[in-house]
Amino acid sequence: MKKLFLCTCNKTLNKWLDYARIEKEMGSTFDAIHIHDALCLEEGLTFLDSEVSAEDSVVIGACTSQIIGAPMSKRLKCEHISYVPLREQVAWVHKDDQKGASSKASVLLHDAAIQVDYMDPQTIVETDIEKKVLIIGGCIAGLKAASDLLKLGVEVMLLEPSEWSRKSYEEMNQFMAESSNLKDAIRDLVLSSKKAKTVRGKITELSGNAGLYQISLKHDSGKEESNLVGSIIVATNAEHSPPPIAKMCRYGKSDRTLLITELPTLIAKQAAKDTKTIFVAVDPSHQLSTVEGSYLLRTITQASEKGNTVILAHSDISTKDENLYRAARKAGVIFVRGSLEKVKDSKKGMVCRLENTLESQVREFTVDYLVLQTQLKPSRSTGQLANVLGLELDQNGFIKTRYSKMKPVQTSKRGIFFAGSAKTTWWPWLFNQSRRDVI
Amino acid sequence: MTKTAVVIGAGLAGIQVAQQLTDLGIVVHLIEKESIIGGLSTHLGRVFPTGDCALCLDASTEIFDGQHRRCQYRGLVTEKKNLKLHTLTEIKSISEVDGNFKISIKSQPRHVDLDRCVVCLECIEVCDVNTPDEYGIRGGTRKAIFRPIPQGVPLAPLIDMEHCTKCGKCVDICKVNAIDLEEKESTKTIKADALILATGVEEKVPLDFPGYEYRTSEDIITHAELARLLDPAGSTNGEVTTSSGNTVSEVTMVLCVGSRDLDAAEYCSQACCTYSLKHADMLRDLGIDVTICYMDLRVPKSSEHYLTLAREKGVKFLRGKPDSVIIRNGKPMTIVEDTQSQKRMQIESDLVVLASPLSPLADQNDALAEFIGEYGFISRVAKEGRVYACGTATGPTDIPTSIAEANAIALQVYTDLEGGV
Amino acid sequence: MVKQETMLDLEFRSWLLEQPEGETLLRCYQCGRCTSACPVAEIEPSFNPRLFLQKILIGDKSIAENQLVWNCLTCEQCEVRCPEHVKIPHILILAKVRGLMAGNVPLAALDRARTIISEGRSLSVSSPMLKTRTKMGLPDLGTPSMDQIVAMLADIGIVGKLENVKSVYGDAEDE
Ligand code: SF4
Ligand code: SF4
Ligand code: SF4
Ligand code: SF4
Ligand code: SF4
Repeated sequence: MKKLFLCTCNKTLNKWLDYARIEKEMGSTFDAIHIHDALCLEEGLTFLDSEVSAEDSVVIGACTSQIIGAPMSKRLKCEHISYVPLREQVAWVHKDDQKGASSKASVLLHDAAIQVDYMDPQTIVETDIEKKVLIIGGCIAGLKAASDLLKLGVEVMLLEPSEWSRKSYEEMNQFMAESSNLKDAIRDLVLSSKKAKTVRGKITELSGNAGLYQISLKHDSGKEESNLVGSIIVATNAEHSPPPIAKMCRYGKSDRTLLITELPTLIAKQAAKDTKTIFVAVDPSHQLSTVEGSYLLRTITQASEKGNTVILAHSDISTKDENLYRAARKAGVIFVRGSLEKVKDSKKGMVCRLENTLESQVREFTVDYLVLQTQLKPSRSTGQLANVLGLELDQNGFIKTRYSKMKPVQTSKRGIFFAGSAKTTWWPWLFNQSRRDVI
Repeated sequence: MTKTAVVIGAGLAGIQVAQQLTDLGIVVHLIEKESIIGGLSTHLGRVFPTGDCALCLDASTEIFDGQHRRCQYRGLVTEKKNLKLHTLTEIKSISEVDGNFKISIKSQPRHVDLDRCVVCLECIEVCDVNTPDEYGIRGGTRKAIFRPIPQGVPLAPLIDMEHCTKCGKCVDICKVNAIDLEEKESTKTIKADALILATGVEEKVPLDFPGYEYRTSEDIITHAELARLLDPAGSTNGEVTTSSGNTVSEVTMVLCVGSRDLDAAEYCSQACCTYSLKHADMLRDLGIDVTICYMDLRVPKSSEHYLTLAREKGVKFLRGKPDSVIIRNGKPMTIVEDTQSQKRMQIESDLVVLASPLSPLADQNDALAEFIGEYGFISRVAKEGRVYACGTATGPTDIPTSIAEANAIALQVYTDLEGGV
Repeated sequence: MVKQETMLDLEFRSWLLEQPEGETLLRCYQCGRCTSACPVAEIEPSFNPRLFLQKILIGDKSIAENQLVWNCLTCEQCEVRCPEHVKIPHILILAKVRGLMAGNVPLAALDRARTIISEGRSLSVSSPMLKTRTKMGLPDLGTPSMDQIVAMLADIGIVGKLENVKSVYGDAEDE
């Protein structure tokens, strides 16, 4: 049965709220409604004891869960309980408006009634916890997590994608930081996570609960094994994929069209005198994240400092560090605000046409290379992995956060966490808080 | 042996890092200079990315998949045995002896005993002193014994001795004898193994930015002030009015006021684009026209929906940085070039909202001087294995990133303190 | 909307960047604050310092071929407000210099330059003016000694250029 208990809280709440009206309005939502004074005192708790059985869903409208939550959860026998802090959220903030306050109270109580319906049975956490963590890697955040957990004496198993090497970490994570810093960081992390048992392959099955998961792994070598772990950290990488304008830009058809991730290699190979004209385009449908923006700015600055003429067609420039933007301008990058309209492959070069909105003029540039800003997508394995692990994905195909404000590293499943790019383009520091469930 | 950590600043990052460390078995002292915790978020009203009240997260739609009915900003902090909260407290000095910190703190008296007060609020009723409310805008007042905001934690009131007449009425009415008008300030020294700076940022009062006449008109306001206007629990009950009490039908927002500017804050404040969009959405819901003057819209992935919403709701976007906001015929007028039509515009509106920079608070305390880096921000590991920073103390950012950083730092601190391997 | 081929002729841009303080141009992030601050832009919508900088940045030298830039008062209103410290009036002067070299110069400006060479002043002094001065008890103006300066200017070829150059706008332009 669904029951509502309204506390009058030392006969104050019913001064500010029209309890009679609320009782009437909630009549159809709940099977039973009780109004009682001082539910938090012994007498009130005894009353709750006698009214609530284990199968009930209960909504309690009272002062605040801070005060009333602790004593009540000890006494209530049922699993599905929702507290509505009527005193704090309604009475105090709408003191002079009994009608409005009562309406808000009704809305909140109604919401709570729906909420108890949607409550999953309480998550089962095994008490016989396995002090071992599986990290599904690919992102350097996974290495960071591994190294930290090892320091804490937790056993770590690192599952890396097939055909993986340290170089892969550098390639896959190059957009995160300046390449020399990144190399050092990766070297250190690889070293400090050495004690992790590394497996190349993929996970095929999961069962069990937080604290004690049973996983089946398939190694690249074909070997299959089964393992017990306490929790799992998903640290798969994001992949750079060609933007929607790639086709129009003849990506894959013309040698002149590249992705931004290929530009550093091109610059590195370039002879000193052999300078080129390079047009870099950001797909207008793509809102640059700060990580992408910073990578873009760093890369074009390098290209420009090498003596190339670099033109960037962009919309909003995002970066965590304004000085990267300043450096790119200082290096002589030509910024054009607009989106590519037409591209023609000609003998003299790639003819790129766009309207520069900052002068309302169509411009045409004939260039040696057309470089496309990539879009970061979850790595191909993420979806498949989520399927095996039973995790929810967000609309972009990244693994969904449990609660972005307070639990930004938890997935929709207890005991499974993520780190780094498996979620979104966040910095690698964003690793996990899994030790809490492990230790 | 149990390790002790001192967290300076009980904003969102400070609260998070303190709770995480306590859960890991470390004794934490959480130091806050204000009377309530929450930091900047207590000023913000609704916050992104979920658009719920910073202080009453219960109203969030995410509760349905997150099942978090409890407000972390308030709960727990005052309940945990190993988490000692010191409000109204400032750091006087920090010294290091044999790898340990000695941190001396000074607490101002609250005059209300937190362990006794049952938050009946009768004392506030009987107090006769009315004085301007720091959290109010457009002339709100509060009593001498007061609570800064209804949801502030600790929930108990405090007395502002500058305005109290010591009439004793509150003392008489308090049935639990929680009030002590003679309580004195106290000092204390805490020994700690690690120090975490979560000192945060404040919205700069835009007095020093030439061109934007913040000083001369009450109709040129900041986003924190707009949030107070929009706050249903605030002194205007959520009504957006001009200084003369008229209804507002047009609002112009100026972004990057004093940010990304070699004459003021050279850095980007990171969060103002998003809260401008959030406020624009809320204003559109009230039927108010909004024009946003911007240079680049920098919206993190987790908050991109605000941009989509703003476009759908018909917020007008104009790419250009205004030269000035002047008062013409009693109303603010924004002078700006629309760089995408190359036209110089003069936009009249009822209110102009300035996105003033978020500036670091750490450099306001000399005791922290040795840790401060570029622009007054602190690096995440300010001193290897000893001193850490997280949240906006390391640079302006949004709430999810702050919290994530706090988690990361909590683990780092724990690993450094306990990790022997 | 005008379509324009850009064969990316960066010669003008590069020349300007090499001049003293010319490289401050690169700091510009096109915010438009200069244009909204500019008193000339307020009365003449086609005068747009931000747009001038955008054109120079992109290698378009049209502003050096256009009379418009000569409307700048060098009042520096724009420069004090520029968040990135771009020396805007100075850059516009550089554009004028290029204009001058190619004859893109209003007649009035040419006349003044010539008067400076011949008389050492930007405006010629007429006899009624001298009379008024005497009446008011002001001292005699005398004749500034220009010989050395003119010799120097002749040396670097300015004098010869000034004698021969013709304003491409003819005599009909208004100032
Ligand atoms: S009267 Fe006493 S118990 Fe009630 S709020 Fe005031 S101090 Fe607290
Ligand atoms: S003693 Fe002070 S705070 Fe208390 S009622 Fe009197 S004036 Fe108000
Ligand atoms: S976040 Fe937006 S408004 Fe704030 S400084 Fe950065 S670009 Fe400007
Ligand atoms: S104010 Fe400065 S940065 Fe802005 S457009 Fe003008 S010159 Fe460029
Ligand atoms: S110096 Fe020239 S461009 Fe700048 S404000 Fe004055 S007139 Fe306008």
